[in-house]
Amino acid sequence: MASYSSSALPRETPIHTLGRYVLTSVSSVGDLALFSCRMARGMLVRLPKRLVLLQSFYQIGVLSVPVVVVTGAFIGMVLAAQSYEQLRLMRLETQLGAVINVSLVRELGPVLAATMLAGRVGSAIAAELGTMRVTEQIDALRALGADPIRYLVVPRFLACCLLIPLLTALGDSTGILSGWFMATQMFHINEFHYWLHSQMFVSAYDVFCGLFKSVFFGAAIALIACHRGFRCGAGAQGVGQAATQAFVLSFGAILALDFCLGIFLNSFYYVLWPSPGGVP
Amino acid sequence: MTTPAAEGRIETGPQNSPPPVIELAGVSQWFGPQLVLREISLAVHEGETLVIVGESGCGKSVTLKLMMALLEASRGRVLWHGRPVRDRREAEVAKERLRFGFLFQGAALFDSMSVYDNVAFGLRQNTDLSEPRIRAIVHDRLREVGLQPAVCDRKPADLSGGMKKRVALARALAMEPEVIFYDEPTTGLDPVMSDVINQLILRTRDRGHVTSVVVTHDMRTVERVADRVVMLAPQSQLQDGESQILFEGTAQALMASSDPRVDQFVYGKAGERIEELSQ
Repeated sequence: MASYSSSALPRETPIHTLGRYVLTSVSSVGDLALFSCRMARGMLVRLPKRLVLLQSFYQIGVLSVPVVVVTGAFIGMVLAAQSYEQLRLMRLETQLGAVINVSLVRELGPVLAATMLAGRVGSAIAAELGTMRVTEQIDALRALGADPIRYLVVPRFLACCLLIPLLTALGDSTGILSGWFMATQMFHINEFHYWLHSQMFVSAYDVFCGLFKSVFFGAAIALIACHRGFRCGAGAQGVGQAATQAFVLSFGAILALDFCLGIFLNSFYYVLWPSPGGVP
Repeated sequence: MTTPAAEGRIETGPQNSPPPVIELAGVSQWFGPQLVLREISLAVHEGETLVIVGESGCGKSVTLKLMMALLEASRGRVLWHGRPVRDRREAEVAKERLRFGFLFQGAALFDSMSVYDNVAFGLRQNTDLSEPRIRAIVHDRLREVGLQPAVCDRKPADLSGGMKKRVALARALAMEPEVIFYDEPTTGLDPVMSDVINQLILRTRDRGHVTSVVVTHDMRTVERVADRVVMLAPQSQLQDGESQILFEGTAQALMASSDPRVDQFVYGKAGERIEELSQ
């Protein structure tokens, strides 16, 4: 028979605090892993209804277009403005196209599109699901025979994974266009050489790498945001914290995934084309 | 007053009678380090209206969610028709849960959906009924709770508190449940609307011999709808080994109870509670 009365706790020390922090972190990672497994199982058992999927696709994909276009456009222009001065000093300004387009397609496009998505979509998902949890709407779903993971998480996960490559491609395109505009119209770089160098340095593998990474970024954003929403604390403060945590953790995950996938894809390139030809 | 349940035994009735629809056997519930329910044993019999009362924070809503398996008990067993919920597969629990309806404290209507979609939700999720048939059922249920089909296109945010509760009741009734759980159905409503909700609870019970479990603070609801009342005590008032079920009996017996803690709750006497709560 267990005792119900709480015994006196030992005095709190920094070791206790550290221990609690480590335990909470490990437990949260484990909980996220289990949550991901439940989501994967929910996706395999039965896909959500078309209407539910379309709503998520619209909310996450279509409504993110303006943000991604504006972000992409400014990145292209900033890259052009910052790189032009440096390249001009070395009389390499015709290489500007290569610098802008490689940076955009391979790194900045996917990372910044994902970051914008984490801010716009990740926080909104966490706040929406958190509010649903606080107001017992998630319990109501279960009471009405719907699996909340399958009904709420799977459509958002699919929308993030499938649409983020398209959004990334859109962001890349607007960035390339704005970079071209700055380089050729503002800095009067020869258009032929601009595109020639771009073509020489940007390979199909670079485009593939950017889009491939974006799928993982989308998955991380959806899972982290949904998990934070489902584990939201009570009240308005809990919902606010869930939204903030969703963005901060998603951003951290995007950077960590970018690093790991970058190394993996570079190594994979040499597996596919093992010539001593150089860096992809 | 000591009841069989308070002594930890479950009243199962004669040997050949069917098992209770829902039974909690020695259930305790913790949230982190906080104990919310302590060794609760309670049975809900077919066709009865059981009302659970008690001070705020004593675990009434948690008891309701445990009964419906929306929460998993930290200790003890929850049984549906004599079979532990824990022994059932997840899909079976979800299917079985469709026999229950739940009216949540804050109505818990889906904000993004219209009234119509809210009431139709369970039917769309769990049946193959055609849309015209679903529409007819939704309109019937709305009329049953005193709402015109004209409210169908409105969003929950556009409804008053009483209308939200009635839409939530219509949603709970749409699947024709055998058991309905009401979590503080009259909280936040004016006396007239509270009485409307009480009438609806009675009408629903009489309509199809529905079993009801009602959690409330409202003594008028207790008097009007209860076949049997259970009163829970907050953890802070309990001594070691004492049952959390302070009282179990009829509404009349509750009113006449000589237990000072029951009397204090029934007649709303603060007594020394301010000093106790501030400690």
